[in-house]
This record gives sequence, structure tokens and C-alpha cells, in this order.
Amino acid sequence: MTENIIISKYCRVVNNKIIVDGEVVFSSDSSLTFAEFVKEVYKNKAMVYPKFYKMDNLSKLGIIAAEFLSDEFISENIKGDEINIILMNSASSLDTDKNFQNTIKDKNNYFPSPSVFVYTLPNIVIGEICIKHKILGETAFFVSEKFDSEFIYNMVSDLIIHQGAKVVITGWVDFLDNEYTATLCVVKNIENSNNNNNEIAKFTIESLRRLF
Amino acid sequence: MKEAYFIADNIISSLGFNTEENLCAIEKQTTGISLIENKELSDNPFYASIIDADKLNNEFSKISDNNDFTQFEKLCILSITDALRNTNIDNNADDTLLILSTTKGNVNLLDENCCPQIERERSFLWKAADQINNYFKFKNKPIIVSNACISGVVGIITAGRLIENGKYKNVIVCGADVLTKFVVSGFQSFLALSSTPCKPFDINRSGLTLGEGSGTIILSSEPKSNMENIIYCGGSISNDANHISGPSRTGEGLYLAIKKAIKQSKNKIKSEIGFISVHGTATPFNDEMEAIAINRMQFSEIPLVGLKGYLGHTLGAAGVIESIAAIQSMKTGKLHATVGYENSGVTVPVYVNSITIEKEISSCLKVASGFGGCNAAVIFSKK
Repeated sequence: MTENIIISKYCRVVNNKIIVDGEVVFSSDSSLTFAEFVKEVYKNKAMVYPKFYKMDNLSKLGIIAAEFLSDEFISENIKGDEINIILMNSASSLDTDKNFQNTIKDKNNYFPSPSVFVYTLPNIVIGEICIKHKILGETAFFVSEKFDSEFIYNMVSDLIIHQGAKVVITGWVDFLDNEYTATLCVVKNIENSNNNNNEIAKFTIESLRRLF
Repeated sequence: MKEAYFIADNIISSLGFNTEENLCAIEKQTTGISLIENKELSDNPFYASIIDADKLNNEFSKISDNNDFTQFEKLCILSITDALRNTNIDNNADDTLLILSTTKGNVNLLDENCCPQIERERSFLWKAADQINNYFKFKNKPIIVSNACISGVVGIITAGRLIENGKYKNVIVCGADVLTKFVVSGFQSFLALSSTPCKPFDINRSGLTLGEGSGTIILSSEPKSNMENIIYCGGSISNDANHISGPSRTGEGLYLAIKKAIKQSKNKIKSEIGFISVHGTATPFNDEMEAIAINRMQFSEIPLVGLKGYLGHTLGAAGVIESIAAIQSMKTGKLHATVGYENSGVTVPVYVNSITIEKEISSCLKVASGFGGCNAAVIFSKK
């Protein structure tokens, strides 16, 4: 039943480089901080999305990675509730958790802010991607020391085979203490579509293992 | 596709250390919420549902060493231990899996004064989950759900699907969160906390009340003999794509999740939905959004039950604890009261159940919503 499920595109963001389907499509000097790097990406992509600058690092990372894949899931033939997102990482929201903790640890310097607190949940990055691209389907965030190919395979194939999903954006988005990695891929059911699909690999546990 | 049966459970909260103690108090409409004066959590007194630390340590000392585990880990281990007690699950089997649902896990370890003997790496959710998994000698690596306030329901949906697809025989879903200064100060900064015990769906509701606790529910492809069985019928998740910290005004996301869950459950559900276990945080926007979604489904005659007035909002535990209570209602025929509710404070007609009543129920719908615009709906039915 899974032979019609493919990985149609993937994007990796690592070491101040953006790699799409194996090719470096953008790179900055590796000495730049993440904040400087994403600013360059934002300009290069000619993004007009002021909200971006209010986001925490994890959300920025996810938004950037999704941006390079959006031509694969934004289409007249795909409705918002047919697009789904399943993400995973190791550090959950610890990067922002630490920032928030710094605002409450000192009684004489106590300034907890709702705009920081809201990002102390890892699934907020999914919420941000959904808002930007009007995605209404299933979304879920899981935490694991390493990418769990078998579990992700089980959940994504169930979404496509049993829950009517056409597209699932899945992958790894991890940020902690200025160290980061994102690898997102677009998984598609091509059963009822034409033959002009970009295809990186059949969707299997093995192909996920190679990618992650 | 296989069936997923609910075969055992446990609730730990301010109201008790097992399902029976909790349900007994809820049936009597006793709340576990009280005024907390604890400077370690907040400079100002606030209402919350809190587990007595001495009682927790005393219970835990019967099974292991208190110094080796955090409060969060203890809540999970005690809850899972009690739920496993009446099963014959082989922890070491290839087809047994633990799913842990939590929003903040051991976040209090970021405070350097908290439990100095515990390694700081356990602020990583997977590291905390490994501690719990290793305690039980579960062979498979645990799955961790961290999806805001729908984490518990997502855990149950994930378990239901893995069992239906034949991937595992037994899946133990544990949801837990503890009350920390981190969480209290965060919700205070949002001005989201109620100055009285929370009042779900009520005209005078003014915010949520926090709580802490853990709940464990075990799903299995093998039914328990000699008892009425409840099964997982279907579940769905959706996103509002609207706002990261506020629910959609139209209830569109929750409406979509309920519609999909019902469609999926069509062949398994025994009768019409007997009641809805709502999220009911008692914030003005949440309850209004839920009422709109329920009304759009034309469910305004179906009784709603909200439990946040007993246990507060237990975050990652809430979906599991409230699902257990819903399943117990189906077994006992006692529909719980939405404590704190007096007069409707939503703009569309819904039927909020306000006193404990006897009612024969064969199926129910559990819903939840959370930050990040997420919604979840799951349906349980008698088999």
C-alpha cells in the first residue's frame, strides 16, 4: 500500500548552509551567528513576513526550512486540511526554556514575558509553519534523542493510508545554545496525481534513515 | 485492523493516588483546588491543585529511593506501576511500548537550586523518559509526545493507531506535568490565571487554574476477560493556522478534528455520542471556541463534562486523566458534574452537565486544544 508514497523534496539547514535535494542552494560564512545567518536567508528569499523577527530560534529554523519546500506543498490541488506536519527533535524547547528561566531566577530582576513563554513549547514551530502556509491538517511534535525513522515511518504512513493525508511534512528541527540542525522532507501520496512528480526516493524506513 | 482495548489505568492528583480515589471524590463533586501559599512557586498566593509532597515521597519510598528521581519522574513511575498492577504485561516484550506525554517534564532542573543530586541532562525529555523506561525495564525506547495541552490526547491517538496497525500489542500511555515556578510565572505573565477556582463555561469565568498530576492508560490488542470492554474508535488532530497563543474564534480547527474523528469511528461506535469530555480551561476564549465548534457539529443537546474545576489544568496529564474519567463514566453509568459551572457564559447554546447524574452511556467524545493552534478529538465506545 505504500508504493505510491514518495519523498518529493527535502531541505537541510546546517552550518549556515541550506541544502535542497542534496545541492547547496544558499550559504553564509560559517562564523556568522544563527541570528545573522537567518537574516541573510530572509533577505535572499525576499520573504515579507515581519512576524518572523518575533519568533524564537527554533521557530525561525523551522520556518526557513519549510520555506524552501513550500513549492512542493502549496498547490491548487492540495487543500489546507490535507497537509500534515510531524516533527521531532532532541532538545524540545530547551533553548527558549533557558531564556525564560533567566527572566524568573532573580527576585530583583524578575520579568517573565508572555511573548517568550509562549515559545517554551516545541510544537509552536509547527503552529508558526501552519499560520504561514495555512496548513490545517494533523500536526504533532515528538521528542527523541535521535531521529526515530521507524516511528516516523509508522505515523506518516498511517496518516496517508488511513487518515486521508495527501502531503506530510516531516523531519527534525533542533536548536540549543546556537547549535542547530533541521532536515525537513515532503512526503506525498501520488496515487491519484499525474506523473510529473519530483521524486527523491520511495518513502521507506531505509530512505528515511539515509536522509536523517 | 486490530481493535485497541483500554485495559487498565491510574490517576494521581491532589484528589488521590489511584483512579478509584479520584473518581470517588469527583462523583461527590469535591474539588482538589486550594489556595496555595508557597513562595517557591509564586510570591502571591494563587489557586491550584497540588499533590502533597510528603505523601508522594512516602508512596514512592515503598517502591524505590526518593533521591534517585525527580518529582516528575516519581509521578510517572508511581502511576505506571499502579496501572500495570492488574495486568500481565511483559515489560521486556518486543510488542510493549511506553508513550510519555508531557509539556515541561523536568524543566525545574533549569533552576540550579532544584534537586542538586540529579544530573542536569534530565531536563532533556528523552533523558527523563529513559529513566522511567529503564525503571520498568521496557525493552523498546519510549515515544515522547510534547504537543502543549493536547499532549495526552495525542498520546492516546498515537497508541490507538500503533495497536490498530498491529505494531504493538500493549501500549502504556503516561501523561504528567508538575507545578513549577516556570509554569506558574508563565501563565501569570499571560494574565491567564483565575483569581478564584476556575469556572468552566460559566458567565463569571476569568481564567484557568493550574494543576499537577499524572495519568496512565494502557491500550491493548487483547481485551480483558470478564468485564465490559471499552475500545478506541478513532481520533484526529488539527491545526487552527490562526494564532500561536489564542484559539480560533470560529472553532474551525476543533470542528475539523471532531468531524474527522467521527468519520473514522463510524464503523466502531456503538451508538450516538453520549457525552463530550471538554477541554474547558475556563479562559474566556477557549470555552467560547469549544462551544462554537460543538454547536457547529449540532451537538448542543449532548451533555458536556469539564473536569478542570476538580484538578486544575494538569497540562500534559490532562488529556489522559480526563479520558480515564470519561471511560469510567461509561463503565459506571455516572456522568460527572462540571464543578465551577453555574450559568452559561458562552454565546451559543450548549448543555453543560452541572451535577453528578446516572446515565447509561455507550460512547463518548474527548476533545482538547492548546497553544500552537492545536486541537484533538478522540472517540471511545463500549464494545
